[in-house]
Parts: sequence; structure tokens; C-alpha cells
Amino acid sequence: MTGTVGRLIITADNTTIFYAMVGIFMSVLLVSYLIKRSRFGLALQGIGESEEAAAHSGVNVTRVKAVTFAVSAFFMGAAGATMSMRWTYIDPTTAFSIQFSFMPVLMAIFGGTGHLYAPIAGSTVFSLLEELLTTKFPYYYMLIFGLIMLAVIRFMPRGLEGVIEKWRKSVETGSSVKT
Amino acid sequence: MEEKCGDGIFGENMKILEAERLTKHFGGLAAASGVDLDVKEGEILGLIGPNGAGKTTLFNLLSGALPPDLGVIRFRGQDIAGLKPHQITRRGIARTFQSVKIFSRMSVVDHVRLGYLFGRIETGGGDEADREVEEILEFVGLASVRNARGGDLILANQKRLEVARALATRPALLLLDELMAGLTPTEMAEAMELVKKIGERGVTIVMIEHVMKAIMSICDRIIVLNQGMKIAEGTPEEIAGNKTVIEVYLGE
Repeated sequence: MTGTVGRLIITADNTTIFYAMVGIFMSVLLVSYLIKRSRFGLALQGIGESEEAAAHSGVNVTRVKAVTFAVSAFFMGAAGATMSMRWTYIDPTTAFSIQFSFMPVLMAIFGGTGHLYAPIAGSTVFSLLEELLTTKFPYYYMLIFGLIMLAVIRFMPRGLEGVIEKWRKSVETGSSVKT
Repeated sequence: MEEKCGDGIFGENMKILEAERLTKHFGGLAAASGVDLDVKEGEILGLIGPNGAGKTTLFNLLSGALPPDLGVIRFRGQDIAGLKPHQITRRGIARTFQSVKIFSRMSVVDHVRLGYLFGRIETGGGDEADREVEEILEFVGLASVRNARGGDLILANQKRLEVARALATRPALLLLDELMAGLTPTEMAEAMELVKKIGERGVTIVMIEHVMKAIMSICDRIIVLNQGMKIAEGTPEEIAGNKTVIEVYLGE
């Protein structure tokens, strides 16, 4: 610590950071699973599909949203704190950069939002793609990436999940039947 | 805690809902201006009027979707104007929507479970909840499609589903917004039957409807709105013979 600015540097080796991230990942999965199965998750799903209908069925929309925001912020914060040890230096520009705020949202869009596996699949493909493009096309990587994102939103509006679900449905029934 | 079922401390002809001078403006448009509305315990009240008369706005005011600019809403003696939709639902007013608002990716049984779990002040435990959810599904006739997703149902069943979700909150007052719209004659007859059955359970009903046959045969009383104002009130026979009403509907 220096007197004026307040600078605290904690470092950890990569192995520790890796296992810390794995731990955070596992607890995100566990908490998501528990939320999905709970009464709270039911309210959340209702809000996601029709906020108005949920409110008029007795769900306190503001409260559910605030709690959800807090829970997701907790994990984002934990991941950020862990990664800051690897980067060793963080300032507002890094912390609030478009890249780190926007990427997780893009990963979720890429994967889909209806099932637990979807964002995992999304972020896996997304990260691999990102690494591949930065190494193969260092100059055009952002351009190609943008085009791929546009194509995903245009042709797979529900992400990878949408494609998988469609395939699953066609295998099960042949076509969807109204009941 | 307060009694939520139909009869109880309120006797016959007691007012379950009283609204006075309800007013709501959207810019220069008066969607409701000074509407007085009394709903009697146990009755089925019809709300009719030409398009844009302010019927749905009135529902939005009563259910808390919109706060009134002016006016008082008393439900079982308590002032509920300005409360949030979920607070009003828990106090015993449930509603359906003109254009169905179901949860398209949620199963039928989960819709009812959601209404049961969140729409009441007190809820029973697991077994009791399951039993009541099942009973509601049987009652509206959706038991056979309980695991289908809301979005996969035909319109008539989506409308039943909205009613089921509303009933799961155990309402004392149910607001039905154009339940018959878009239904075939057979489905309409079934819907009318359902409304009557709900009324027989002691639930007070206010229904917005354009299908005159339905309104005339089900309702105990009818209120006619035009341009945000109440222009007539009475039994179906009185309304059918009312000069002002005929003028509004057919032009002078």
C-alpha cells in the first residue's frame, strides 16, 4: 500500500487461479440448477416470457429482478476478482471495457437462454472461435467475428440451443402438433 | 387473515368492489373520465361498449396495471388504488388479457402452479398444492394437456389456461377481458359454460365482451361505456331496450 492512491496487489500462480475459476464455474452451475428448480426460478421464467402476466399472477417482478441481478453480479464479481490476480493491474478502463461487459452477453446469445447447457455450449464454441480467429486472421478478426454474430442473430435467433431443440423435436415427432 | 372465498362476512348484494370517479388520461385522450362502478358480491357483471370506449383501461386500473389519475377503488372496503399488480392479485382480484398472455415455453401445469404459489397470501404445502393445481386443471378442462407447453396449445385452450392461472390465485373477483374473442361457436359455448361454473363457485366476475349472445345470457347486470364514460347500467333486458346504447352502437 502506498499512502495516496491505495494500491493492493495480491498475486497467485496460474494453477490457483485456474482452480478458483473452476470452483466459481461449478458453483454458478449449481446455483443456476437450484434456481431453475425452485419457486423463484418459476417466477423468473414467467417474467422472462411475459412480465405483465407474471405480475398479474402475483409475482413481485421488481424484487425477483433485483435478487437475480444481485446473484449474477456476485458471480461476475468473483470471476473478476480472481482474474484481476492474473492481470495484476486493473483500472476503470479495463474493468468497464466493452469487451469484458459485453462478451458474456454475446456468449449467452450465441448459446441460447432456455437451458442450462446452452450458455456453456455457447461460451465454449465462442471462446474457441475467438482464439482461432485472433491467431489465423489477426487483422480481420473483429470483422469476421462481427459477421458471424450477425449471421447467428439472423439465422439462429435462439442460438445453438434453438438448433439443437429443433433437431431434437424433429427426431421425436416429425413435426410439432398443436394440442 | 381475511376471508378470500365468495360468501363469508359479506352477505347477498354486498358490494365487493366500489370505484368512484375513476379517471385516466393518455395525453389529451380521456380513456376513463369519472367512472363510478359498483360490483356486487357473487354477480356476473358485463362491460360493453364500442372499440376504444375504455373497457380495457378500466380493467388496467382495477388490476393495478395502470395507476388512476384520480378516483378511489375500494375492494372489500380497502383502498387499493395505486397498489402494484401483484399486491392486488394477492388481495383477491385476478384477470385475463384481451390478447392472451401465456408463458409460451412453460408447461400448462407450471402456469397453474405459478398462480398458486405467488397469487395467494397463504399457500399450502406440497401435497395440498399438487391437489389443488390438479383440481383447477380438471375444472377448466386442461388435465389431458397438463404437460404441453403454453405456446403449443390452440387458442381456446390458451384462453382456458389464462383462466386456470387466474383461478389458481384464488380470486374473489375475476376480470375476464374478451374471453370469447376468436373462438368458434362450439368453443364459445364451452367458454360460456365455464364462466357460469366459475360464478357458481362464488367467484364474482366482471367480463368485457363483444359477443352479445354471451353477455345477454350470462350476465346479471351490464354496464355500457362510451368514450371513457359510463352511459348506461342495468339488466340485460334494460340494456337491450336502452335508446342511448342503441344510438352508440348503431349510430344516430
